[in-house]
Amino acid sequence: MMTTKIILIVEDDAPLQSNLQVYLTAQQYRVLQAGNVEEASEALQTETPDLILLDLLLPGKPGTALLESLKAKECHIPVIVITNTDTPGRREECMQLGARDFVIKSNISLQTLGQLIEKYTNER
Amino acid sequence: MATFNPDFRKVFESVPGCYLILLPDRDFTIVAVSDAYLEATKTERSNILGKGLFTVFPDNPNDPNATGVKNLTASLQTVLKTRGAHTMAIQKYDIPRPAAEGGGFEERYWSPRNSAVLDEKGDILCIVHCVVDVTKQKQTENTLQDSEQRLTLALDAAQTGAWDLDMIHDTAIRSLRHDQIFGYNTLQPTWGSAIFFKHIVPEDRQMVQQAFQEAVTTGTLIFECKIQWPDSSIHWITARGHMYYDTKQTPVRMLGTVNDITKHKQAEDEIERTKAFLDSIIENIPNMIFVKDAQELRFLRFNKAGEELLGYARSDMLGKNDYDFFPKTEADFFTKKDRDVLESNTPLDIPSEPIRTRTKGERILHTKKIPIYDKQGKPKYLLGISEDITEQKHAEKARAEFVMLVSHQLRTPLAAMRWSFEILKERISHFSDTEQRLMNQSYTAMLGMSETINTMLSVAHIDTQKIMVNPSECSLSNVLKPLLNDFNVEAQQRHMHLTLDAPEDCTIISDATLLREIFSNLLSNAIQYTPDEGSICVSIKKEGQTAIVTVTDTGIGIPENAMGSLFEKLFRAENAKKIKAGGSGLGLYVIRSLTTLLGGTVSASSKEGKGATFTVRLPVLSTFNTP
Repeated sequence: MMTTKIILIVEDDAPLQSNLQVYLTAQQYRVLQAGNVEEASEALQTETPDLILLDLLLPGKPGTALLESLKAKECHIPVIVITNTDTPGRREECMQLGARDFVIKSNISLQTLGQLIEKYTNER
Repeated sequence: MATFNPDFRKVFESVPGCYLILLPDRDFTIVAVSDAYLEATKTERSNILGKGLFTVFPDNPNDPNATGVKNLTASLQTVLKTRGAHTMAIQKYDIPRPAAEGGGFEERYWSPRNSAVLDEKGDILCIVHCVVDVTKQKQTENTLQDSEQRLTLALDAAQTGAWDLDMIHDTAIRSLRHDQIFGYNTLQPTWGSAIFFKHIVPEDRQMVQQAFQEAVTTGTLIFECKIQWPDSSIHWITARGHMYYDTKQTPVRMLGTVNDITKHKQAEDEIERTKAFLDSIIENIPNMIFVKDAQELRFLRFNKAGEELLGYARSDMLGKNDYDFFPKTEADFFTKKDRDVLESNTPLDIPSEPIRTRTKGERILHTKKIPIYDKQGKPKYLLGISEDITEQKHAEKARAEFVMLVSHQLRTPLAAMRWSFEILKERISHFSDTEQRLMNQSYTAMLGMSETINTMLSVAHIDTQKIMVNPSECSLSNVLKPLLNDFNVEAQQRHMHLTLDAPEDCTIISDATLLREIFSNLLSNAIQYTPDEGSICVSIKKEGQTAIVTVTDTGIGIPENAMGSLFEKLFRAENAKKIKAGGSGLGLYVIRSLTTLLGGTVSASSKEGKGATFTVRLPVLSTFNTP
């Protein structure tokens, strides 16, 4: 029997949190929610998610702070950055900090996002 | 009393003068000649005695104007007739040169006098022909005439008038040119200092008077002044003169020249006006302008905008260099750039350089440095023009931040809507046909809005040159397949054929994100402007070192008159406006800008009503045009 995969969503926007929760649950994932970097770090102390969906513009520390701390701890949980700010250089910055992918939320369908999640969780 | 029995022939021959004794016969036969005459005419007594005068002294056959024989004959005839004496005017009468001296004739001038010697009956016994050789005197005279003529020519060529002022009688002899310079066509009957002063404009009279007074002591006169012509017009002259004194050191005469320098003065005035005009521009231009000497890079010139920008008065700046005003690192930077410009002889554009000012803190300048050469082509000055772009830079940053904020604020609710729709669509079978149609319409509208925001962001990034190219290996199939999948949703709903023709994959070094944006825009256009049940074919092929992607549709096509402007910002073809009134006109502009950035090209071919083909050519090994 396949074990249920865990996705940690780090997103402060409630409707988006809810959309992702509904969709991923329907896709048989277990979903953990964090509204900022601190909550995410806390969750990571007790759980080991198979993938992290990470927003960048968060209350308090930016999403890149989590990427930095994961990189420092040599933690290899795949991270897909989901953001709406694609200022030049931002994608490259995140990829250098270890993100596996970088997507613009309004430009990606849940189906395509689901395919990416499946791809990166299966790589482990 | 001593006896004196002279041989009178001997005495005559020894007389220190040139004499001939001629018989009053037809040939004027020579019967006696003085030694001096023989010497002067280079003849020998034995060769001339007993011969006719004109047999010995014919006219110079090489001188067509020779009149010696004719004039002398006339004079001798007069003497025969009057039995008296006749003095002739100075005659040019060339003499034969002895063969030993080269033969031919020698130029000679003579002052002759002929007088009859009468016997007791009063008949003419003989004629005494006396001549004075005036050749030297005449030649000197001729030389003088020549030089006078040359002087006149030179003065005329230099447009110079000459004058000679008798200071005792206040009268002046002048050349015609002198009087012409004062506005007269012909020489005036009288001239003197009083007349001269009348021509000088009142405001210059005192100055000229002073120049004359100084000339009395210095011996030299020199001045420039304005004169008024008889026709009232004003002219400029310059005069120079030299004073001559009598034994009591009283000035008696002055010789000099005068020139009309009106044109020169007008040109000078024009230069002055131009200089003042340029000065005024330089002074009032809102950019800092400075000039440094090429050797020590010291400020030679500095304008008002520069004073305001740096906060130093120009009196503080002039003669100093950058190290007197700026921190060492900044001064080092400026000096290095200055030296680069001067050594390479090439102007330099520094798009952005910070500078520490005295009162305005740190400012950002856009500076151009230009070398200015001397006549030998060596750099003499360094010209600098700086524009304060601090506010512009701040505005650019603020705009970028604003665009980022707006995009985030708009995209977040759009993403929530999009994902909500997508969740609902999973349950679409539960909805009625009308509900399904409404939902699909809303979803399509939402996707369009998302696309518009993306395009606007791209344009903002292109216009601020903020796009970065991140090269990596890109498989064109891998870039295009997911895009086709996304667009296939709408294509299927509209019963369109969307196909990819890629017999072999093509991998290029490029930027995958920018490629996605280019092809996404092309596909979006193709779908929008192709009617239901049409077809769209994307093909990938490789020709040498070029990857070629074409997007061909069976849509409305492009009118011929729109072809030239197709890729311009905000341009929309008339037939496109009819299909989709609210298009932005930015899509093709973005496509062309990004393709260019990737070192490629994009072109279109079409016939209106018969579809269109867009061809993107990209280098396999990219040479990016970095902004």
